[in-house]
Amino acid sequence: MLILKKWIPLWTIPTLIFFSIGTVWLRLAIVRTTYDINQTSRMIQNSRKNRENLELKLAALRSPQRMEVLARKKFKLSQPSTEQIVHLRKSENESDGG
Amino acid sequence: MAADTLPFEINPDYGTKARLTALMLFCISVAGLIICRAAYVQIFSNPKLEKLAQRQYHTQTLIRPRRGTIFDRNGETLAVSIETKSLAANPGKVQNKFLLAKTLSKIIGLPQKKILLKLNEEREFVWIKRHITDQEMAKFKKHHIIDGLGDLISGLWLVNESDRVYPHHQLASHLLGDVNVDSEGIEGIELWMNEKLRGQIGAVAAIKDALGRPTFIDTAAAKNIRDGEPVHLTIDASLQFEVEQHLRSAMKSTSSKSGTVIVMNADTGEILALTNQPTFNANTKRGQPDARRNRAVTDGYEPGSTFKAILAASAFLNGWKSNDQIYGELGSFSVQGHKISEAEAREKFGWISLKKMIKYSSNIAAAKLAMKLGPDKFLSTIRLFGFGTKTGIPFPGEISGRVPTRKQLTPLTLANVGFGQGILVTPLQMTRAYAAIVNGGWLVSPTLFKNADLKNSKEREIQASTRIFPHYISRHLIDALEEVTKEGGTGIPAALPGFRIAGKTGTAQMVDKRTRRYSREKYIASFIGFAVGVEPKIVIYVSLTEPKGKYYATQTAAPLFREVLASVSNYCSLPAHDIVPSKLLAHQLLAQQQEQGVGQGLGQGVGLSGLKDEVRISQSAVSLTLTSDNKLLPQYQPSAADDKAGAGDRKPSGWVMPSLAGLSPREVFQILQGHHFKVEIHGTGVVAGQIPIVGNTLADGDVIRLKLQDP
Repeated sequence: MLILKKWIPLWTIPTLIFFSIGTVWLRLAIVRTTYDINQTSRMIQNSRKNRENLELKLAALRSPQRMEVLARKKFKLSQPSTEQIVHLRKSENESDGG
Repeated sequence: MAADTLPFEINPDYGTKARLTALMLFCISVAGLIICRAAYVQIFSNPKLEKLAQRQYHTQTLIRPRRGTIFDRNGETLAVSIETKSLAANPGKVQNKFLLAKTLSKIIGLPQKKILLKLNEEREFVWIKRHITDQEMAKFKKHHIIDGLGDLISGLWLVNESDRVYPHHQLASHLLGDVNVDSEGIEGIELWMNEKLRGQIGAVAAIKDALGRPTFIDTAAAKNIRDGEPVHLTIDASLQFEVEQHLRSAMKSTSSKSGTVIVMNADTGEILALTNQPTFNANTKRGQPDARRNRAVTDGYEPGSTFKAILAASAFLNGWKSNDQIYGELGSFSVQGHKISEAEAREKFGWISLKKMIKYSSNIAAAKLAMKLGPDKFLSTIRLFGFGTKTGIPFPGEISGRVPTRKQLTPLTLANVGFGQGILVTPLQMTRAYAAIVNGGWLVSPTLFKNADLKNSKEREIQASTRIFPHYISRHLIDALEEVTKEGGTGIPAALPGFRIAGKTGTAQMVDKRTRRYSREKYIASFIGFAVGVEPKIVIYVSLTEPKGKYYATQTAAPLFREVLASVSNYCSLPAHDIVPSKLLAHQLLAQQQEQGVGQGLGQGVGLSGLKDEVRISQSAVSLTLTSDNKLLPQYQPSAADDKAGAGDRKPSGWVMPSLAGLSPREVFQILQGHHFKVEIHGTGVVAGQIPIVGNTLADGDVIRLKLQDP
């Protein structure tokens, strides 16, 4: 018992240091993980916003008005008359997906 | 031992020590009590304290879900929500209000005074500007309103919001409607389907920071927030665009005040296109209130002669025949002292059949027929067609129109209603009435939504059609209406080559608001019609209000109808038949081309016998079509035998392979349309070789292999 009492300070200090470091490390890990979660959330949000913007851009690019202008001005096309249009019928044995 | 001496020695510090000990014990006790109390507060539950703590750092925040997208029938996006930011302020935390107001005024374009007024409000939250644009955000950074880390200066913050965008601007704006700054529907489909589109707004628990801003939200609860659902419309964005173009062009050429076009599937009631002019752009939130009205359902008008079809239906329902005669009074007829005249003073009809009454649009014959039928019978037919009641289209603001009551139907009113005056109808009601004529007597409910998007079963029930007259009456009416676009009829400009067109013109006088009498200057010109014998059955309604100069429907609305029908035939693949590009017969065209040598090249290729084959084929099964570049193209025509088998049947039992040499793939497909051949194309350019060779008989399902080479 006396020996134990004599050496108490020796094992107490490393234990305290170990727990202290452990606590600090855990705390840092929590902060880092929280930061990562926030970053990821922001990325998700940004990606969602980008997707929305791209969807909007796609819709604008497919706009009939834009197509009309492009066809007429850039590609020098004009509206076909009724007799110039060929309506292709879907083959009976052709699947819907095809 | 002296008496005044004590038996023990008194330490002078004893009293101090004792006091100190007592003090220490007291302090320890107090500390112990505090620790015990703290432990108790921390460890044991106390609802009152919990409530106090929660009030300090907990808050409820409203989460607006993403508003649903509106699509057309082909999945084209018509209205979409995007995330945007709005600028808000806590006036108490703003330091230099005057300077901030000045800077913000430069960036967001609001008056400085207005911003300063907001910043001086005694509130913790004020909106500065909703929906900040990307350009404005860039300017915030430039003017250091936002620092490099993305933080705003003290007292300002950005709130995430949703903004509604219409990527096609004015396209179908009357149908789509508009939303307010909080993305709540205020007009059109946005309003009608608001509940479905906006989703479920929910309050979610959140932890707030020192400034009271929600920082962390309850993600588990946030997952339960339901985003708005998409809505699929029946309109076709491309067709809608074409129709809008045609209407705009017609408005310009006729200097009309307003116009409406409706394209509806007569069998299903699906609206394929619906447009009004003038229109507005919901993105800009500007525009006259007048231009924002969907006139097709919210405005009533006197239909004029287009209503004669309803009168004819009433006559047929009451036993009249197409050839039954009415006396036209040679252009002069009076009822209750009021003169009824024909549209043109030179029109003086004697005995005229019911069919011709429609063809020539005789007002006197119509008035007399209405009077002969009597108010009860005519009124009953009018009600049968759904006039005077809403069509049930899922759209806000629809009116039911106004049909005179039995008491109001004096002989004069009855005569007027006979040719479409003195009755108030909506363009959509007229479209629906004509749909009943073409679909065999079924009164359909017009709809703008695909079935899955209907709100509830009640709306689905409304959609169910009711039969209002038998099929033979439909045939009689179509026959009569078809006469209108034939020689001598009032609707010839509506005729489109390749189609049998049935329809009716209407030039209705408008009431002058000033004089409260029918104006001799203001008219509504309209045409309602459809292509006969084609599927799908599409009814087209066009009207132009107050056209200047030429105001007759024959000159204004009928040509617009033809343009719209041409677009509809392209988009809906209506099978045109008997297309003859000019009045010349096919063999005459061929002869002309032979003389001009245009046919050269047709006979080149592998295993071909040249132009001679073309001549033979043209005589047997293929007619000739002139393309835009004046090139002659063979085209399949049903033979007499085919005609007997059925005019609509375009599948002969055997088909003689023509020469395709020198033709482009487009021209080849034009020849082969209507058949079920499998075509394999190798290479690019024009046809240089073909299997099977000329003259072989083909049946549906056979393979045609073409070798293409550069010409």
